[in-house]
Amino acid sequence: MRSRSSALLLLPLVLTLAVAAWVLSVRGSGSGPGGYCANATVVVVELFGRAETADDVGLGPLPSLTAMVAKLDQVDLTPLQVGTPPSIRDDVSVLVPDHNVQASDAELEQALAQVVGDYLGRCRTA
Amino acid sequence: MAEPRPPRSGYRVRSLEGRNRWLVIAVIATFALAPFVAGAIALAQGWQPTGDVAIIALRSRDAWTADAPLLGQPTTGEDTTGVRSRHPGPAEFWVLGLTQRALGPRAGVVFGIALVDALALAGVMGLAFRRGGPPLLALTALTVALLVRALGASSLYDAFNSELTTYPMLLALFGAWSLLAGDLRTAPVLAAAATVAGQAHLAGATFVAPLLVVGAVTVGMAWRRHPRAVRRDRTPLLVAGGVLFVGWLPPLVQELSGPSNIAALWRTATDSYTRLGSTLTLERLATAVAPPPLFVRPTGRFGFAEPPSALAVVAAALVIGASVSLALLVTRRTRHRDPLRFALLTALVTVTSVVASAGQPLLAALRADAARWLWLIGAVVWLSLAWSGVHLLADRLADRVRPVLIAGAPAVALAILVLVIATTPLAHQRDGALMPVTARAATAATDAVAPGTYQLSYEGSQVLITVGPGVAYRLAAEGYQVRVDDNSFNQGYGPARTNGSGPLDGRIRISSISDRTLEGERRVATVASRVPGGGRSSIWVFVST
Repeated sequence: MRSRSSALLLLPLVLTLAVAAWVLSVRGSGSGPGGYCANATVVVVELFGRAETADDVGLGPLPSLTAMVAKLDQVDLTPLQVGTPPSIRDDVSVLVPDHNVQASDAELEQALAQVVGDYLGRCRTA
Repeated sequence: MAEPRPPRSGYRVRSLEGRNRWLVIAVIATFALAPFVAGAIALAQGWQPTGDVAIIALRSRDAWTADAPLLGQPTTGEDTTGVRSRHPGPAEFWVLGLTQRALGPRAGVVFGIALVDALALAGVMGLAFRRGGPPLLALTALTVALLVRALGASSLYDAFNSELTTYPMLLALFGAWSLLAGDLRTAPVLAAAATVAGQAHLAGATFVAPLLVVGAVTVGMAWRRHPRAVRRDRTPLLVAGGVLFVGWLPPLVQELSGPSNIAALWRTATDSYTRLGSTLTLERLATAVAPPPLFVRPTGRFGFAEPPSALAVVAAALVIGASVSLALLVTRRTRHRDPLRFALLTALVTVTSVVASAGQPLLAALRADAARWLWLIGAVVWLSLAWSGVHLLADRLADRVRPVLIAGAPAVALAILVLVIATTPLAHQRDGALMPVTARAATAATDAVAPGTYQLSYEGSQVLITVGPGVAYRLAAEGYQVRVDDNSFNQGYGPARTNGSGPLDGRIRISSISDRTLEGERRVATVASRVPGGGRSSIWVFVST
């Protein structure tokens, strides 16, 4: 009786830890669910967050491209390389260079504008 | 045990004596006053309706007229699916319709929402005291003060419909909990809070819907098991039913007269598009709950969506699981079920909010304002955990902790509120930097043309999203009739403004793209503006009559 009661006490912890384990296993599987758009969401949100200068926590205009380019080196962009749509493959390769070839800020801004613009359109209706 | 079981129908202020009585009254009064003080400071700093708030304020002018809105703001579903739909109900418009008429176009909007939030916050504090006495009131005061700090002072008077839901959602949770505890007299509180939160935004509706179901089932079961108690409390129960009927009558009329908004929402929800998904949603929940949880830290607009570390995911799972496990332990040791009821209700709204959020379009990932459930869940999970912890303190320790908690937590809460409200400049709030620009552009427009009917057009995202609606509202508030193009951005202006017919007295064009004057136009204002990231730009106002 006592052990059944103790098991009941532990049940919520076991359930939530099982959900956490599932989240971690799915997340660790590489491409993750949802394909390119889901991966791009993670990247774009983190980039926006790092480039944001406003103090409020509501809705507002997106951060500037210049601010985002300045934060590119702080964000893991490799998820953008999974299932990348052909139309932005070149732009992603500018942002995530294969051979340590560093693009200029202007090139990065242009490539980032293409990738973010593509994301906002493609992943709205995909 | 540390905490005595509460009286059957809850604690009463009048049963307290001396210092404790005044402390409880002071805490409730402080949270009731805070939104008005924050709003008054914003008005003194030059607060102007802009963007969605201006559109909401504009549409509120139609409430209590023949063109009264029967539904809420347009949803962003049209952007994703092409189906036009609206948030469930017009309660916000009807409230602001009254306060605008009474207090004017600026103060009416600010104080109208401050009134809603004041009632919600005072209600939360009142119910926290009723359920858990001074210790729970103290913990709740501290939690909510931290929440206000995280969301910013503007959350106390923000008319943006997705923001308006925040504190009424919290009140609905406390209201449902009170009903579940057998306190049937609090039914009107749940009904009113669920009506406001559920009508203003779909996120609020998905949060309060399970709470309303719990409330209805509780009353139904009470009717079967304790009919005498239900008969005794029939007046508040009838009031609750009346609130729900009157509050939801406008959407019901819309459903009966058509076109059906429920059908449009259903088509939107079941359409094919890439959804946020359960993994990303659960990661967000982990960010919201894991130490330090969202409600104790200002995050900026996107910080809420940052991917959590593996450790944070595990920590969040432990915190959520422990909040229920500890409440079970309290029930086993003390036979006191209220902490368990609170923990289970919190778990219920967590599950339903996760499911609803996972079905949203991916771009919803960028909208902090539509994800306030994350802040609330983080806050109430920790509150539940802390309250169970207080119950489990050993008697000797509890005797020492209780007085410190009861006096100290409200004092810290008050200090936080004062600091947040007194030290947040308008420029740091949403659209704050563009409010002076909007005011100058609106003044230029009203100075340039005589009252009449004008077609407004916008160029540039800053104008379309923020400044333009502010100018339109100011014109309407000064007696002008405004019309705008019928497109997805302008649906919130109402059918009389998007489908208006009849002669025009002129056109007003506002641009943040070009200063070029078109044929027949004259430029009446050039207003220096700011672009995101700190750059400078200009906004130009042109009129043709």
